[in-house]
Amino acid sequence: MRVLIVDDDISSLTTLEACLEAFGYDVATATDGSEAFDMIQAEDFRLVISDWEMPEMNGPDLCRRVRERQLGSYVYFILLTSREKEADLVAGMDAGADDFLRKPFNPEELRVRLRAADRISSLEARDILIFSLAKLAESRDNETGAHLERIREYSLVLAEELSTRLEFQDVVDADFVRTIYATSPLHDIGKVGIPDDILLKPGKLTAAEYEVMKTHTLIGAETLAAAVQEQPTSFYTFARDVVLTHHERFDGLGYPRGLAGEEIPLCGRVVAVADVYDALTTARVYKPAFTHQKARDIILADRGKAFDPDVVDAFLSREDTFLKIRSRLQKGVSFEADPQAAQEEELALAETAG
Amino acid sequence: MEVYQMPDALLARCAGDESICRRVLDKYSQQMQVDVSALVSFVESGNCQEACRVAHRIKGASANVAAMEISRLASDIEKLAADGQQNEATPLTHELVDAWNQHRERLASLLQSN
Repeated sequence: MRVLIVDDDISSLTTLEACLEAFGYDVATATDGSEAFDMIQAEDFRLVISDWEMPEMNGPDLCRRVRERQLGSYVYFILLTSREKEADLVAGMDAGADDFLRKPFNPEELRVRLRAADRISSLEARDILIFSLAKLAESRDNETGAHLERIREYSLVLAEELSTRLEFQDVVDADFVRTIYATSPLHDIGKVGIPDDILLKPGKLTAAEYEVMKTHTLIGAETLAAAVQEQPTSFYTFARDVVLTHHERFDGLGYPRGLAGEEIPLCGRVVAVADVYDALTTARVYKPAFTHQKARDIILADRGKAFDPDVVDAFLSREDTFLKIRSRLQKGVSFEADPQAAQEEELALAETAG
Repeated sequence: MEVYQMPDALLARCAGDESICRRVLDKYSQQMQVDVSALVSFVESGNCQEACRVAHRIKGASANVAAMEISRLASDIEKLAADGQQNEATPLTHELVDAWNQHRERLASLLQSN
């Protein structure tokens, strides 16, 4: 694991570096918070151990910035401090720190706290495995391409935007954002239970075939039911909600249960917009890729009907990010079906950048 | 002159490697030259905020190398500076300078050998 240690006191930094290297870690150092933040953005540090008091940017402020940045991989953050007051510990945790280490550090205490960091990292390995399984489930569908990568990026962006809004601050925290990134790729795992002649049919589905296709939400939820029962943690419940409700409509005319408004879990309402945007802007055998503008107009027209108005508003606030994600992750998908769509796309990107 | 003994606590933090301990002590010595001078200057000029910051760093660095008397003095100065008590901090600062000068001499005997 790559570790970054941050301290403006060089002798303390050298000591900690030596100890961590003796424990087998790959260590980098920084002497102030700003330098550390730049390094964290540039490299994949999974663990940061930072002094509290530093000039310019102290440890808690560094931690806060790291958490706000919502990097792809989780950064386990330990604050190194001689502070012992309860108010200080609360302030550190509030800034997003995962653990504390007293100064001067005890090597054995450091070792056991590092084990906790390793356990958290192993949970991230779980997320990678989940994504791999989701990709496997989607592999029958030839048109998927980087669909799952885009879905999780779109969902992340929508959740991040909602987290900035006062009415969602109690609901959409860093944990929600992280979890939706990890679980949104699972939204269509139920399609493994849909017969090929329906799933891969190039033409329009009949009414009966559509009813079968709709069951993928229930199949997916049943698949996760065992996990939810085994470990009814928020993670598995969240995943089940994404799978079960991403086709529900805000006006209650969706499926499988016809839930309406806030009866639909927020994660389902978010993935609904992400999924539809990707479907509209991706070429399929039966349609060309729509331009961003066209997809935007369709989603806006369904604000309050198919889609949660707040989630649509979040989408409208982050259109430029959606365009960038699409540009970055849609290279493998051909615009040959609609060359004009490609030209309009480039224009939209240029307008956003300008 | 008292011969400097490598503190067990520092040795443990340096994974038992004396050469690393020497490197840490060398860096400590260099940083302390700067920080002690700065602390005196800040306390004398009444810049309590900066005095607090430097005292905090001296406290942590000294604790790391098990120079506990210096660390304790720095901790007391830090608290006084945080409360704006320049007059009370001044004599403690002189004590810290004396303690550092004695410690520095002992360290020099170690760092200059081998």
